[in-house]
Amino acid sequence: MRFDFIEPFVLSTMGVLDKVVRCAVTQGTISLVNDKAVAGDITIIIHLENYPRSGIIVSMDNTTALNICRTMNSESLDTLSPFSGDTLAELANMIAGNAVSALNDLGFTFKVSPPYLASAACIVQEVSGSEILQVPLYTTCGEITVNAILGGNGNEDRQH
Amino acid sequence: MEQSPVDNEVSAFRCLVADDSEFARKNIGKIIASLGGTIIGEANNGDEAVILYDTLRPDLVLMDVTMPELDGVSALRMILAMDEAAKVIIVSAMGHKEMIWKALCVGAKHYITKPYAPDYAGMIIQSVIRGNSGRAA
Repeated sequence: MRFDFIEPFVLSTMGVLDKVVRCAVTQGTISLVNDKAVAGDITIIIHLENYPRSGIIVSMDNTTALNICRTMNSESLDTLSPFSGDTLAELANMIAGNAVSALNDLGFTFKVSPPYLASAACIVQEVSGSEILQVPLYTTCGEITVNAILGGNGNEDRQH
Repeated sequence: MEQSPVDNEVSAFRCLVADDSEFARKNIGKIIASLGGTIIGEANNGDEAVILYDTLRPDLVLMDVTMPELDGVSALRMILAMDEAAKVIIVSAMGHKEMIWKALCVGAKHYITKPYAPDYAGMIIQSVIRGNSGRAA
């Protein structure tokens, strides 16, 4: 994944959060981070199928996750459940799907895999040695961190 | 004036929902119910969708694209090979032009991009149930 993919990626992500979480979203400072910085209490990974070792990781703490699940399901929740995990995975799926679609409309070709919840240890292993661009997003539900794993060879070309 | 799905109910219809997310199935299920429809089957992937379609012959299929085992567009192709009159709406977070065009060319009646407004999705579902199709949302 190339560095210049990031702007449409961030704009799409903010658009999805605005519609789904229904609150104002503020973008923090984008930074390059190491593999240990990407995992949160809840971490969801979506691979880009046609670019090895590339993908999108969405992470957040338990409080943020609970707030988002309450909003997305329009119901009060006291604790996270397996259905909460599914709810958050669908949020990550929408973030990745919309972002990748924006990039595809710019002429690049990406295909995403279904999202899955991953443990911190699993994430660190998955992204070990990769460059990771981290975008913190601040919402009234809490902070959501979107990480783009820049694992490709940087030579992806537009298809048209 | 914005139109609510419940303002303009279509006659009862039977629906199959194929999405690997339980949240997504539940979400679209609320819209189906508000329109007077019934979810008669839920599939976690494209393979299950094809099998359930053959067994249940629903009036409408709401199909995700990115699913394990078999993707939604491949499942759509297989369902249409079984029943060329099948009404399938794609509901996906993947909303780029090429994907929408591909799905409509294969034979999807409509394409809804996630996240969607419930009223808007309801309007499209009503439109397809009534026999109109061919646009992307």
